[in-house]
Amino acid sequence: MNALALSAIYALIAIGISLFFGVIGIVNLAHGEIATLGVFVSLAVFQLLLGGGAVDITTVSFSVAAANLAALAAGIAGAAVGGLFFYRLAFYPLRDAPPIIGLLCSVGVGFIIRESILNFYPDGRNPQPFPAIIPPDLIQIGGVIIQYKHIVVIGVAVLTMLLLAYCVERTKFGRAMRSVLNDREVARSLGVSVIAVTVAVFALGSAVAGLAGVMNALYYNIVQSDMGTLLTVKGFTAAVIGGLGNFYGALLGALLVGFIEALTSGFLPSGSAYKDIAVFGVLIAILVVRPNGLIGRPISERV
Amino acid sequence: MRHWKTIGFSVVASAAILGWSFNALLVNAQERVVKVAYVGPLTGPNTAMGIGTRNSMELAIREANTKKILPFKLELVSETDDSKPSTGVAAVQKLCNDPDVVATSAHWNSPVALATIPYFKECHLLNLVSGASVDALTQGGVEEMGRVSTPFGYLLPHLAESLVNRLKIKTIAIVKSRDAFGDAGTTGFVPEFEKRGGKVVAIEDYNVGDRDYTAILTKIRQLNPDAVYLSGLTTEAALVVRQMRQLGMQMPFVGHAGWQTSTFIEAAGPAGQGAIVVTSLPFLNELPDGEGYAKRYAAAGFREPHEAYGPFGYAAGQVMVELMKRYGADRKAIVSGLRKLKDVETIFGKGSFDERGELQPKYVDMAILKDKDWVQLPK
Repeated sequence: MNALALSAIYALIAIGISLFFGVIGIVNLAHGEIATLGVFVSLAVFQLLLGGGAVDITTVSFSVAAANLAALAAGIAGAAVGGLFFYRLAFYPLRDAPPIIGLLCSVGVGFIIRESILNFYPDGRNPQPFPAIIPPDLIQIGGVIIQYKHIVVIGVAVLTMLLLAYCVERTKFGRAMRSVLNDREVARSLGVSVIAVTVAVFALGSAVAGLAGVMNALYYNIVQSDMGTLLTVKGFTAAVIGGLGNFYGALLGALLVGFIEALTSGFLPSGSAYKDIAVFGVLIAILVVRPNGLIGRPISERV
Repeated sequence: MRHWKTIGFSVVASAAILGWSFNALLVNAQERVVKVAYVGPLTGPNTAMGIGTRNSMELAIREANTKKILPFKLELVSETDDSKPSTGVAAVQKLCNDPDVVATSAHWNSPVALATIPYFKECHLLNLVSGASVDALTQGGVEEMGRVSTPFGYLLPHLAESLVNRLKIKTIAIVKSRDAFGDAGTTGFVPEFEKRGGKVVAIEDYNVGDRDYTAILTKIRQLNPDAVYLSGLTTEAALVVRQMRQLGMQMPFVGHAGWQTSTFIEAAGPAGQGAIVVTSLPFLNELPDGEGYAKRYAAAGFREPHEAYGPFGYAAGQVMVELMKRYGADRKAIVSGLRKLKDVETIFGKGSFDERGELQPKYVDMAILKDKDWVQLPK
């Protein structure tokens, strides 16, 4: 269950990274920081509404439950707004620049977000408690431990992915997005507003990153201003394993990363210390055999 | 004519001599300034500890200046090591190159302190450690290294003794960070624990920065040890104890002063209640000058609390003042004077430095987290 929960969080990050690459053509290494931004917005709203107290969502009144949901929603909205802000500020002016410039720019954006959070939370690099609103109970079936937080995180992630899949496959926006993903010029000639699609994808991807951040915070109940770096690395790895630019690839990659981590930690002596080596070892092996990821399409340079 | 020339020459010469004397007097009146330095985590994950220690050292320096103990004014300069060896090395190199700096108390993190030893040695600058607790710091025969805080060598046998004989813990699982700090906390503990009849059922490593410990805790859960010992720092300790309790593991969570912080209390929340650590920090009410120090610290107007290691920063400042009083403000004289320093009065009472440069006697005790405070474990 833990592996699935980890995979769920990584998948939510990987989807954004993958879509940004596919649709907009940028590798956004600030994606984890966008998630962190969402987490801290959410934490601020929690502190504003509930005085920061850890409140179990099941044992409290409707008004507190509403405040909890408002705080979580604020985190997601905060990430979306933050993502759009940095898109307009940094990525949009560089839309015709070579991809490496966009990549460097995203590193800068990551720094800016990390350091900006410290203006509001000067102690943000130290662990900050995040309200534990999911009851700590657990169910044990055979040797498998299922905690409520597993159910919440996995449930929310699956629901989000189903919605996203529906959006990508069945809606007008999804068709427009796929057409931009396949060929930007052809999409433009067919009357698709590439810029509108780009902005919508950035907002959507950032909101999903915010959701991932909030889920991560609810899962561990401890947040730090520099937690985004790890999220980016894991999400990016998942996206690359699955195939950059591919929605389902990101899911598959995230599942693999989550399971490799949990299995290495669980079954090797002192495995926790070697789980990153295992993940990146698999990444390298997959890229050697399938350079475009498991279900990625060949990447050709636009000329 | 010649007469007038002689008078003129005498007047000019007298004026020059007077001017020179006046100038010399003026320089004396302006007071010579000598610098001592603190290097520690003033930024990064252990900022609270660094700032508390630095402020306490500053307090000792201010008091020495007010009492005019030394014939010059002391000034504290501080540099951050960001808890990173590379930043620490850069900071120490900078201090080495400043001839006004005559003594230093550096590093809260052991890996950083280990990395800077050669630089202190090279520039003959004293590093009177006030935090880092790896024994090796004063075991390499480097004259420039000394310590006022308590190293693992003293903490870990006490932890093993208290666990086995006071708390009746016979089996233990160790969760440790994969670095010099985590290693030291383990290698110093295991033989002591086993010698007293305890059994280590598992040793699990993690990388600093890991967030998920479910897999290793699930493994440990099946072994059902009497306690889980965390050899690492605050963030990971808070995450591990939270995840332990969430997995229904109710056995005692034990460790050492590396995570005996106020941040742990906040970050671990209710899960941290009852955590037990061996502490090098004497409870202030048990120290000869503990309560006086707390009062003076509060009155000094520092914004941040003195934190667990504050008294060591204070003691480091006191020892430096005493060294300069006895041996002068000279790097080499201070270094060679350290091991000769006997009967020095610090916040810990009267103490002496041994041949390793360790201030003796060392204080060791056990603490338990109760409500919002680390309190003495009832004897």
